[in-house]
This record gives sequence, structure tokens and C-alpha cells, in this order.
Amino acid sequence: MWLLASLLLAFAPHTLRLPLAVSALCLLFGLWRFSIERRTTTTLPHRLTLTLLLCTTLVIVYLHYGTLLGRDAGISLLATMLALKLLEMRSVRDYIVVIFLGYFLAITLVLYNQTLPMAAYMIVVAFMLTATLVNLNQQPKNRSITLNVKLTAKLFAQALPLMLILFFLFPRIPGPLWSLPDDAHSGTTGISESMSMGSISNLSQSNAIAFRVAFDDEVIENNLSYWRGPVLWQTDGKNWLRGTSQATQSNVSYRPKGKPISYTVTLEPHHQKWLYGLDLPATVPAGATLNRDFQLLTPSKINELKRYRLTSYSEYETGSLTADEMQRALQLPLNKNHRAQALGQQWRQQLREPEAVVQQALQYFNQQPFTYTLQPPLLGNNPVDEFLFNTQQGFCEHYAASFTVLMRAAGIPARIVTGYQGGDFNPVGNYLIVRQRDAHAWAEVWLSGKGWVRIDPTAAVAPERIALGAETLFSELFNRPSTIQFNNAFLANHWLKLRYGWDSLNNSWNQWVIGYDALKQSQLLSRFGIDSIKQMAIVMAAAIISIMTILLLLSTHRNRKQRDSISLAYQHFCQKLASIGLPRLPHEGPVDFTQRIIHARPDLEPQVTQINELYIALKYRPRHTQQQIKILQRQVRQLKL
Amino acid sequence: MSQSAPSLSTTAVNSPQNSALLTQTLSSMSRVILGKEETLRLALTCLMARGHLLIEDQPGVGKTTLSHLLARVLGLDFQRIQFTSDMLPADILGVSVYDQNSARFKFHPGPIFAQLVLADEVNRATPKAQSALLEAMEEQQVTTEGERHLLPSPFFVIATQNPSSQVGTFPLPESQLDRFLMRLEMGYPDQAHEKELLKGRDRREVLKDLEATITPSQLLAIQQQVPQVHVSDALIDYLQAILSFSRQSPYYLHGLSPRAGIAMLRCAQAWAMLNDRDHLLPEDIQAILPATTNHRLQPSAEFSGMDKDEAISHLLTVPLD
Repeated sequence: MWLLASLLLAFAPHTLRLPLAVSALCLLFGLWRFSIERRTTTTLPHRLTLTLLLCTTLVIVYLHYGTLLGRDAGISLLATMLALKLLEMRSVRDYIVVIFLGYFLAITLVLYNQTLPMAAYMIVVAFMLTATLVNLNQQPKNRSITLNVKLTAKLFAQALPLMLILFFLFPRIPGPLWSLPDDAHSGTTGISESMSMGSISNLSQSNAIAFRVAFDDEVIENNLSYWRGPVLWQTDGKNWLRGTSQATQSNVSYRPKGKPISYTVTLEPHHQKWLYGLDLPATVPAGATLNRDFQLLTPSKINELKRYRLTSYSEYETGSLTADEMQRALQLPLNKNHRAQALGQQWRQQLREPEAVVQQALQYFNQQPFTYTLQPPLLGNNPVDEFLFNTQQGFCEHYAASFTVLMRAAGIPARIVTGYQGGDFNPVGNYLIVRQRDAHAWAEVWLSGKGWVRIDPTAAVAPERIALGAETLFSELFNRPSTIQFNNAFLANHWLKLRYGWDSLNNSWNQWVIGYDALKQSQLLSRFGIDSIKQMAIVMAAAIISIMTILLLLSTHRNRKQRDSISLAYQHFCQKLASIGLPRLPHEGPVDFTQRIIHARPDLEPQVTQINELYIALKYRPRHTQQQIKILQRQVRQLKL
Repeated sequence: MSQSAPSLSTTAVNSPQNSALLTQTLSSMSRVILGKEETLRLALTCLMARGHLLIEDQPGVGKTTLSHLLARVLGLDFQRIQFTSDMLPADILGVSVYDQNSARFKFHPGPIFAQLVLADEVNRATPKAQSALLEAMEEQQVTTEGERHLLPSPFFVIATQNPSSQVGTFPLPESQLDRFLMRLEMGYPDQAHEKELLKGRDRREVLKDLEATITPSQLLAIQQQVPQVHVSDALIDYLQAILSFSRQSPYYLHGLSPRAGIAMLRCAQAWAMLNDRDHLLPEDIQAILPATTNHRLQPSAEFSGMDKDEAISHLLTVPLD
């Protein structure tokens, strides 16, 4: 019963990901076994039935994933095989195999989720499984549950120092330990290399954390908090892409103004080949490069938590454009969005100056009845026209895209920058949290003498989005506990504190547990003078051996103490008898002594025999319990002479 | 967990069949040799602990009868070797004879190739013949002319010895004595039993009527279970106290060897098993202590006048805990 319960626990989080049929099958097999245990069905299924079931599950898994290999398919197989194994558990060995498979199933949870709650959950699962194992190995069957739980807790406490040693000292391999198959990273959210109208507003429903930033000095103001991601140049009128640049990577420089801002970013894995930096990054973290779009690129995908330091300048002046860039910054599809293109050309003819055109466009967004909404209506083939002149409801990418189209039509080089804007400041941990819902798109126009200038058309429509962040604006939409309307301001305040505290805890977990990589390990260990792997191994072995020794000594000490309490009780017994003239001779064994007592005092026979039997059981027989010692002590105390 | 999980328990030491077998054997034996219950028990213990037995006493107190008796009730095949002063090793171990038909040497096994061997009056033979026997006992095999011949199993030697004060004997040296697990003395029967003995039938005839109560394979199984009798740490401490007392006390020339310690432990375990217990008690060690130590301990020069029994009694006073 315990086994089934703990396996169910290990399996439960997987049900969210596994195909429905697989989950259902596993539960079915579990129920089957349950009924066998309950004696409602008596016999285990025949070998042939099992083989048929196995083939069925293989087919189901293959049909669903198209393969039997890989992470998801592998785990489905593991789960179903484990459930099938339940149906052929006969010997103790089978039970043990199932329990160890259960541990393995629990470990696979980490392949999906490495957060603090999951760690806590896994401890619970491991505890249950271990308790089951303990119960299985107990000699008198069906001992009380509390005893088993106590023993399991003891085992866990003993394993804890070993776990810490292995965590700190076991050599870390830079990069992932094994390369996960590609499907490990599918279905993840984040900004991608392309944009279409509506893609970011989908993202904005997500509360997932994109990255956290700790500033060296002051936190940056919200309206300067633009985190630069991919820059999009090329459009077919509907979708925006990065396009291919012919420019070489050299000559990436700009003239910074103002004072530098230094900060540390902890980026959650987003499975793309770039990093986010505050507009505009001036330094480049090790291993990354800065391209001409001022985007930080990495050679490989960010598949694990990454921590890096950066310095940025929020005021800057970029240099001139190459001919290629000029051409790409003006590219527009010919046969789409005619009205928007006409409007742009008209403005340029009226106003001449590019700065004036930009102002005109922003005024247009501000004065026309544009609204900022997370749920814009669907747009058709000429989305910019439809948005500008019909629906007039949109999210940041609608504004950024239509603004860029208007500028290009007016002959002003323009491009879209995607990334994040804003973030919540966590006063508990003193850092900024940037979430997926802070994803944003804005535009940049190139003005001679100024270089690229950031223009955020969303600010013209909904300035509070920029000043306060997305959450404030859409609080009704983010259906989260934080937005429960608290009537009591005091309560609300505490709720907020609790939330920030929780995130701060998560942040520390990420920084110190998940983020404890090869680099951090070598930094930490070199502080203690451990430099090579060899030394590490020696220290690890020494630490493990010393801990084992300490535990062993503790347990023998305990045994001795137990032995002492048995001897003390017996000594007490001997003293009582000596007081009536029957001292035990120093070399006299308990049986001989008992016989002598009974010979001298036949009236004492029942009590003395009982004490003698208990003493022999405690002292000379293999197994005894704490309770037996208590009985011996009580009986000696109650002995009346 | 589930109620259907099978038990993990090990094979039980001292199963009821074993204790019934042993009780039956003992009662058969005490019908032939009267009034020597303790000696019979010790002899059986020695056999169960896979040791060899040395019986030392005057002629005619039943040494040979005891050997015959053991062979009979245990269903072992039996050989008797009468040791004499002109005996050669080949007379015990066997000899290789040239066989003309096959043009090869052929080994003819000697009398030692039996499950129970009675080496009668072992101290009459020369040391050369004695050591041939003792080496075979120790190795459980015979090596002649580079060929190994395994002795049967179980293999049990009972050697008898007349007290060395008699004329024309070669007493076994101490190192050889150590190879015997136990040394027993038969002693004279008490009056009541002697009367019964004199009035009753010839012992040899009583012996012939006896049936074997244990098969050799059952005996082997029992021998294998002896080391599984549980010995608690407290008893190991007690045994060590006895050993270190023998090494430190002024009474003895040499202390007890580690081999003697192992011998005592095995005997005590067999004794516990014979008494139908799966665990050892201090009384078990005390019961087998005289028989396992009296041939291993020599009184020191200062105490040369000390009686053997007195010497052992000092060991028995080693305090328990």
C-alpha cells in the first residue's frame, strides 16, 4: 500500500506532461495491483497478458511521440513499464526493483523542473519510497508506521552530511552533464527571433520570470529600463524578421554619454542564442559577442541558468549607417499597407524634417482614439492599415510595427527592437525581477547627427505602461493572487512582502544551488587551497570517510549505552539479592545464578526466572528492543524479596 | 506494506529436527556407557564442532567403547589403528605399490581413510608415526609421492593415550596436543553404575543392537550450522578476558593461543546447540572450558606442583563483566 502511494506521488507531476492514454494506463495498472492487494482479485495476470499489455503501451508511446527514444518518450516508457512491473511483483526482489525504479522516476522530474517547490516535493517522494524500503526490510512484519518513519528520518539525517559533501566537492562539469535530446526544450516561452502582430501579447499573459537584475548602485528608473533583445529589420508587411546582414562584426562602437550603470543579470534559460542587456550594453560578458545591432550574442543556446555582469550607458550616440544597413532600414513590401505608406510619404512631404515626422507620428498615436490592450482584434492581410485606420486597438508590437512602417514610408531609417521593459523591484532581495509579461517591442529611428534613437510609440498611447510597468496596467487581466483586492491595506502590504520574500528565496536558490557550477565550485574551493581535481577527490574521500567514522562511532556509543543500561539493571538485581545473602559470584553466569537463587529461595522462582530470561534475551540474543530494556528495569524495580 | 511480502528471514539455526536428533543420539549413547553423560555430551560437542578428540585415561575405562559407540550411532564407517613403537607412517596413510599389469604405481589407502578413526594408544608410536597422523588430521588430506588424496567427510579422529607416566611411551608434544579440540578423561564409573555394568550384558553386545540415529549428511548439516549460533559482543569480551588471563597469570607456562580461543568458541557454540539454544551463554563457555584447555596449558615452573584441575579452576574464576 505504501509502495503504491509513494509511486503515485512520484508519478503525479508527470501526468501533466504525459499523453492522456499513458497516464490512464499507468493508473489502471496501479488500480489493478491495488485490487490484488485488497484480495478482490486474487491472481496476478499471466505472462502472456503482460506481454500483450507491454506491446500495447509501446505502440501508444510510439504513436504519440513518433519515437521510443528521447526524454518525453523515455519517461512515458519508464512510467508504463514501472506500472506493468507492479503486476508481476512476487518476490521481495521485485518489490525492491520497483522501489528503485520509483526513485528513478522521481529523479526524472528534475529534467523538467528544478525549482524550490519541486525540490521539496521530491524530498517528500524520496522519503515515502525510503520508508517503504525500510518497511520491506523490517524483520517483524507490519511494524508500526511511526517506527518506520522515525528510522527513515534517521537515515535521511545520516545522508545529509554526505549530500552536502557531494554537492560542494563532487567535480562539476562545465556545461550540461549530458546533452538532452532536442525535445527537452520545446514549448518554452520567451522572445523569439521573429515577431508578428499578436506574438508578444500572448507572451504577456505569462508570469514566468525572464531574468533578475541586481544593480551595483541605484536601481534604474522604470522609463529607462529597456532590456535589449533581438533587433528586427526585415518585414513582409505582416511578420518581422531579423534578416541577414552583410556587415562584418567589426567596428561595434558608440559614443557613450552620462554615467555607466553596472549590474548583474541572472538569466533564466530561454533556449536562444542571446543575452539581454540594458540599452545599450558597453561591456561584453566572457564568451559572448556584441553585434552591430548592439545585441549580445552567445555561441550556444542558453539552456541553463546564466549569470553575467554588464555595464551599460543609457545615453549614447551611435555612428553612421552603412549603405547596406540604410537599405535594410528602409525595406518595405511594395504591395501591402498602401494607406500607411501613403500617410508616411504625405507627412514627409509636409514636414521635411525627420524629427518633425517622428513627432507627428507620435502625436497621431496620441490624438487618434488608439487604445492599448492585451486582447487586440485579429488582423488580416494588411495588418498595419487595418490597425492604423480601423481597429485602433493594439499591444506594443502593433504600435512598434506600424510606427516603423510609417517611418520607412517617410524615408527615415527605422527598425524594431524586441526585449523587455520595466520589471518589479524586490525590496527584500534588493533586485529587479523582469517577467515574461514585461516583454516589449519598441522602435529605433536613425537620425543624422544622433545615430539610432529609441522611440517607444507605446509611450504615446499608454504612458503609464512605460512608467509603471505592465502589471499595473493590466492588473485585472493577470489573474493572480497578488491582485486580489485587499480591503485592508495592512494585509495587502504584508501579502506583498510575502511575495517579494518568496521570490527572493527563489532567487537565492537559483544563485546558490542551481547556479553552483564548475566556476563557482573552483572559486569556492580555491579559497580553501584546493586547486586540482586530485586534491578535490582526496578532500572528498577524507570528508566522506570521517563522516562515516563519526556515524559509526555514534552508533557504537549508543550500543554501549544500551548495553550499559542492561548491565545496570542487572547489577541492581544482583545487589537486591546480595542484600538477602545471595551475592552473585563474579564469574557466575546468569543461568547458574538463577538456579542457585531458586534453590535457596523457591518462592522467588517466577520473578527471577522472568528477569533471567529477559536479561539473557537482551544480553546474549541477536535482536532486542528498547522496550525490553524498560520491562527489565521495571521488573527489577518491582522485585520484592 | 503489502501483506503478501514474503519473509526475509535466514535459515533457522537449531531447527526442531536437529535438537530431536541430538537428544535421541545422546540417549542411545548413555545406554551403552553408563553414568558418563557429561563426557558423552562433550564428545558429541567436539564432533559437532569439527574437532578431533583426545581421550586420556587408564586402560579399560571404556575409551575404545566410546569410539565404537560414536561410529555406531552416527552411522560412520570406522577404522581402528593400534599404535605401536615400530609403526611407520605408511602403516597409517597407505602405500603406493607397483602394479605390473598397468605398469604404474597404485595407491593403496591406509586405515586413516575412514570417517571415524580410532588411534589407539597414540603415545606408544614414535614421533614420526604420530606426526603422520596429526598432519592428516589437520589437512583433511594425505599427500604421498606428490599425489593428493582427500580424506572422507565428515572426518573425526579419536586418539587415546595412556597417562605418560607409564613405561615405553613417547608423550605428544604440546604443539601436537593443540591440534586436538578437546581432551577428555573417562574416569572410573561410580558405584551404582559400575554395579549395573557388572550385572548387565556385555557392552559390545548392547552396542551391536544399536541403530544409527543420525546420517553422515545430517551430521554435516549440523556441523555447518554450529558457527551460526549467535554470539553477543558481551561473550566475545568474556572469552577474551579468559584468554588474556591465561596469558598474564603466573600459573601457566604459556597462555592460550588464538587457535585455542577459536576452538573454545566453536565448542561453546556446539554446546549451546546441543542444549537447544540459538545463542551462546557464559555457562556454555564454562562448560567446555576444562575439556578444551587442559591439554593446552602447562603449569609454570613456580606452580609445577599444581594439579591440572586446579590450574583450570583459575580460568573459571575470570569475572564475567
